[in-house]
Amino acid sequence: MTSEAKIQKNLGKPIPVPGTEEKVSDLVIVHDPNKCTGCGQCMIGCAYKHYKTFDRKFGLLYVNESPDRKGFYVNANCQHCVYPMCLASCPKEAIFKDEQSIVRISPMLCVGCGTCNQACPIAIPRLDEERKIYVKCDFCDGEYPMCFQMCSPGALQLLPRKEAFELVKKLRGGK
Amino acid sequence: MTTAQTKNKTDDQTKYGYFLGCVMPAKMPWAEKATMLVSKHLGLDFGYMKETLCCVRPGVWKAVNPDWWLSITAQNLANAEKQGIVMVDTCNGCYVSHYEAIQELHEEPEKMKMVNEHLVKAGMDPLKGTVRVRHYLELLYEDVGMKKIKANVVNPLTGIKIMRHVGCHARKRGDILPNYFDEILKATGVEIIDTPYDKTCCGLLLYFSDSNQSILDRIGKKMLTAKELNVDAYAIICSGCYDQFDRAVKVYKDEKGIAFDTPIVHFSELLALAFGYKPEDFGMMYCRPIPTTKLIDKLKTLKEGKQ
Repeated sequence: MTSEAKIQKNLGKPIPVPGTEEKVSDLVIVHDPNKCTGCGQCMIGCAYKHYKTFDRKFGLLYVNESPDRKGFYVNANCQHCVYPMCLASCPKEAIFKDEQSIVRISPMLCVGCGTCNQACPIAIPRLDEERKIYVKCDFCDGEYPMCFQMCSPGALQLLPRKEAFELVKKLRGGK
Repeated sequence: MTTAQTKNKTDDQTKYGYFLGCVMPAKMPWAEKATMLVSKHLGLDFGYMKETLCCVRPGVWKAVNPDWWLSITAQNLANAEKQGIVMVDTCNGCYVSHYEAIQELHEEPEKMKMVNEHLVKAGMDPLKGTVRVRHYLELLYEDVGMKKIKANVVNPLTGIKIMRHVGCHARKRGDILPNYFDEILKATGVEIIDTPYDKTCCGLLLYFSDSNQSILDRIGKKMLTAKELNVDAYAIICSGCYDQFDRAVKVYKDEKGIAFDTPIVHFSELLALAFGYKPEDFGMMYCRPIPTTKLIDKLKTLKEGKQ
């Protein structure tokens, strides 16, 4: 969290994507691995918010040590894409974009086939073993996301799409 | 005694009120003593904050209920405000809890109203929001200044190699506190060894969730690196992190048969030594899972060599 700066805490109206008929959430969470300490508090906060447990395995985002670099932690969290691959791949049409453009899985329609997990480039949807359905980040229903609130080193940033894109570009060395 | 019975500022109340937290008095009496010695030595009007409650760790309580966290943390802030002190934390967890709470209360007047309703119900004075929360590193670097700290170093710890652990919450304001930590350590004359695991979390935050990963995959990697590099000490800031180091020593010894021999020292201890205090002045050799004997012997040998 960039503590000194005032931040927008809740999702606003979805923004149109130029050149398409699609809309996308105005805010997105981006991870800066250079700042991440691997504390796991984001996963724990998420797990408590959604499952009332501190077991990080219940979290809906994932932080792991990079296999290529010691002490460097990488993350996977849902970007609520413009064209979500999970949504496109679902054979039961259980995945949809809501009015805030949060990409959601309907627990009533999901049959737990796992196609969404296979289709997502970063394998975000995971199996809820008790309910035998797939679950994913719901952006805390558009409210101040718990993972972001939990992050002391400021590795997770809650940014408007454009700023997030610039940050990711910078993190990738301008590409 | 209830929080309602908080006294007003008295003559013996200092400008800076030291919020000890839970681990410092229980497991780190040497660090507490060294912090007091260093503060007095540098001429700070520094004493214990009176009538403190748990800092209410935000990592746990914020997830459970942000309003509960804010209301309970605000009791410490209200006490500090009433006593007219600047609240000083050495534990990163306490610091981040108080710092975030006061920031959130400033940003959101509705939360301030809610918290004050709770405080009044508990028989306390409402919070105005004028209280200042500072980390001990800020106090040393900003209020005392590096010039004065360096001028007080009479026994530079040249020849002592250390690894250092900053801790996650000290990164709350970016690189400010980690840089202060490095500058202060360098002023004592120690040699800082950089490793890939310097930034890694101690694992305390993960301990609730996955004790194995917390010990073996986080703190364990740091301690094994220290053992491998044969450094003289592991310097820390935070008492919360120390709790995890303390736990890792026992777990590794009992479950893996690995005995760590790198003592975990608080940076105040290094400062006290550099200012000319003896280890026995702050009980450096007592109550430690890893003895400091080797470090103390090396310091003696180096001192004799210089003479």
